[in-house]
Amino acid sequence: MGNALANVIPALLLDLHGNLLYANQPASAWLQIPEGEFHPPGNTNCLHFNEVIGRSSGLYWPMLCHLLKMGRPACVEKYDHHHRWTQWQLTPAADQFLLYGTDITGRKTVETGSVLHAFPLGLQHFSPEGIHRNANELQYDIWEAIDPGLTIPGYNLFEEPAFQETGLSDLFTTTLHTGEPASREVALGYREHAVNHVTRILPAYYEVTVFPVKDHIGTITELVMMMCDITEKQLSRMQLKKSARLLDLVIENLPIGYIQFDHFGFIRRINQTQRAFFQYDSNREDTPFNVVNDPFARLYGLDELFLHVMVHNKMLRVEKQLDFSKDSRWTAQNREVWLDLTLFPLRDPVDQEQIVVVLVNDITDKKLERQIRHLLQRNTEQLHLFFDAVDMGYATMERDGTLSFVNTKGEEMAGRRVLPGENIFSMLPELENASPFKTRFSAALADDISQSFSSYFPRRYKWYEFLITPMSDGTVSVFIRDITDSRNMQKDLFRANKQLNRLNRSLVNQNQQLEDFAHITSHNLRAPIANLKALMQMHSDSALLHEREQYLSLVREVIFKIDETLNDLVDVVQIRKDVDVEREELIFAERLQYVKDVLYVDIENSGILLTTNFEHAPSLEFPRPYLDSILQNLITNAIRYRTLEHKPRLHLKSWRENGYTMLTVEDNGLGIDMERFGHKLFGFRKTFHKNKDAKGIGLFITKTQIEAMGGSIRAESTPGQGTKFIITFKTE
Amino acid sequence: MQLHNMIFIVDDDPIHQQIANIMIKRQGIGENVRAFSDAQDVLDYLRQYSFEAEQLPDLILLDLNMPVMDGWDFLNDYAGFYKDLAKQIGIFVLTSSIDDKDRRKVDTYSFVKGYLTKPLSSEIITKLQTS
Repeated sequence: MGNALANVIPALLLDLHGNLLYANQPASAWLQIPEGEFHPPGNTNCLHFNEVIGRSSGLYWPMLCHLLKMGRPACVEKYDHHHRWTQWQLTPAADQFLLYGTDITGRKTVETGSVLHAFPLGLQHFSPEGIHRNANELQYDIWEAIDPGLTIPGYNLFEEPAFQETGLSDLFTTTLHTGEPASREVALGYREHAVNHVTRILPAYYEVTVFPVKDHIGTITELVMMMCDITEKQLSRMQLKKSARLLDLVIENLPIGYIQFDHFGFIRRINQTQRAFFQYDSNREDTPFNVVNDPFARLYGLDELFLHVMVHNKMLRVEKQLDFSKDSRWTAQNREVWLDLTLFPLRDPVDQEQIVVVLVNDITDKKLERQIRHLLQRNTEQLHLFFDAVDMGYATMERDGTLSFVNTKGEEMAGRRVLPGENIFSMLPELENASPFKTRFSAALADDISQSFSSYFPRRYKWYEFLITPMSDGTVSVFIRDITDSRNMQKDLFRANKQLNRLNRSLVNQNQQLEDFAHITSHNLRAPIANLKALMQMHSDSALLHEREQYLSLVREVIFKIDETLNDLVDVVQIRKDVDVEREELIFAERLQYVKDVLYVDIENSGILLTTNFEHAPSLEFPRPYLDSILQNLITNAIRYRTLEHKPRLHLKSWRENGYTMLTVEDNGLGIDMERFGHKLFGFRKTFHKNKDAKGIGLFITKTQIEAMGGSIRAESTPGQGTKFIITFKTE
Repeated sequence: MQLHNMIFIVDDDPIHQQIANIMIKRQGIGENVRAFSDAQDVLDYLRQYSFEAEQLPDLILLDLNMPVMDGWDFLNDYAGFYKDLAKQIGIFVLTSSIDDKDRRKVDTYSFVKGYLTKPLSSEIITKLQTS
């Protein structure tokens, strides 16, 4: 029976030192040790209580014996791999000890299970040695996500380096040493967080509290670890911290100054912009500044501004001119500045007191700029007054012609008041259409060079002189001067001068003609008269009849010559006198045909070939007898001075040039040595060859006829090649 | 009285040639009077006989206003070779021009002995005789 019982109740037999002597079958199954007898210490299969139960329960052999000796229940509870709680009771048996086990899983579950499992925090029991004993479901879940190894029976957290790093071991150590609970926030593992459809891996935070469980004499029998998931709280706290830091950064880096006053008017915060403005030395030990009673602040009424905002709880914005040279206590500005101050009340979120924040903007430069602009405006106005006083139109405009200023004289010229913003080209279309103004305006802008010109405005009967000057600021200045009077005067002067020139030319011409005529008469009349004189003398000196008859016959010959010469001269005088001879529209081809008919016999006999090109100037307004005479003389010359070496040709060509009608008559005859005889070519009774028919009158008459009508004639010739007469007819 | 062997009249006016011829011969100042209408012919002659003194004239009466070659052309050409002639020839300008310019211009030709204006008269002939 005893043996049978012994085989039902798990039991161990131990010596006085705690060495295992014997283990029955149930005990060997519970404790996972061999069944039967054990050898004494020093043998290979010896086992000690501490190895089998002590280490996993945290209660070692000496303590168990001590409990027995003290008359206290010498029991030890052990949790095994099968989630089974066993209790081992030590009983002395002669010089040995008996340790028999009982399954207390049921009781344990009843004791702690309901409380632990319902507890909203993770709970875990450890032996004072750090060995895991038990945990509630929540704690299992926590470790499941972090490190499931922590819930394995016999796990010793003091041996886990990871927990030493996180500080969990320190918590246990502290609790063991002080006997007091210890608490800490630790980050354990990571967790996925979905934020705005983005999954982020963030640390999981726990608040871990370790507290001791003591027996009635105060000995720590158990350490309980309590873990509370504070991840959300921690993350929002961090978010809050981040926001606060961001706000700090924003305030600190605001491009304008930021000064925060507390409820009493003391400065509590100045951002770096303002510090830089103040050139504030943070190392200086100053007495705290209070806007309400600071003399400098009161000098400029800053205390009143502060109090106004505090009392009325309303924002206030003012521009203040402060002279910092009067106060060097907390700024090195040492100059007069203009500040744009915005004061607004705020309620301190912590202590709920009303505070005042001042935003400070340094507008000194802007103010100066405004002052300069004002001065500039005054200068411009003065300049405009000046331009109003000058007797010249003046306008300033944009590059597209939009007017910004027109002086009084300019408005007078425009004929009405001009409003700034009007466009000069739409206001005075004639500037764009009927004058070079627009072209010169564009040229001035393109080349960035002033353009000066004058232009007549027929609808106004006015001459204006313009000076268009592109300015360096991109605008355009236009000066306008009415030069009508001076222009008219100039025109009159020019006309008078022209008339005078014409008269002068006419006088010179007449004088030349008189001189020519005197020359002609002296040369061409004096010779035959001298002959007459000599012959008369000879006649009277001679007594012989036949001589006297001979002399008289010579006298007749001379008289005939004189008569001929006089007739020629009369012709010439007639031509020169008759400048108003009737002009008519003559067709070159028709007149040529007429002359050809007159000279029919000569042309036929000479075999001269006449060709023409009157295509470009078929007609001419000229006295008909003159043109006929000119053509006849030139054709006769060409026939008379033809060469027998080749067929004589004569080409007549007409065209218009510079308002004149030109006619060339070109032959292929003997030609003239122009160097020798050029000056004689058109002279009266000048011949330069031995042709007996030549009287030296044809070309003289031709020249006289052409010049009488305001034209001219010249010749080009090469001996042996021919002569070309070039006639310029003045076109009326 | 000096008698010139040969006198040349250079003038394109045939009537004047006749008058001069008659007057010279009548006053007997020259034995041989030759008239030329073209001055170029005279120059050609002088060049041809430049080394034969007896063929060269003693006197030349030169008109200024002539066709083709006028008196001025003659004088310019003559100036270039008269020093090489075998005989010094007395040249007189005989013209109808009373223009002072012509007279002054003739004065610039050192070899011209005188400027005479037409008509040819017995006084002029006498002057020629004494030259």
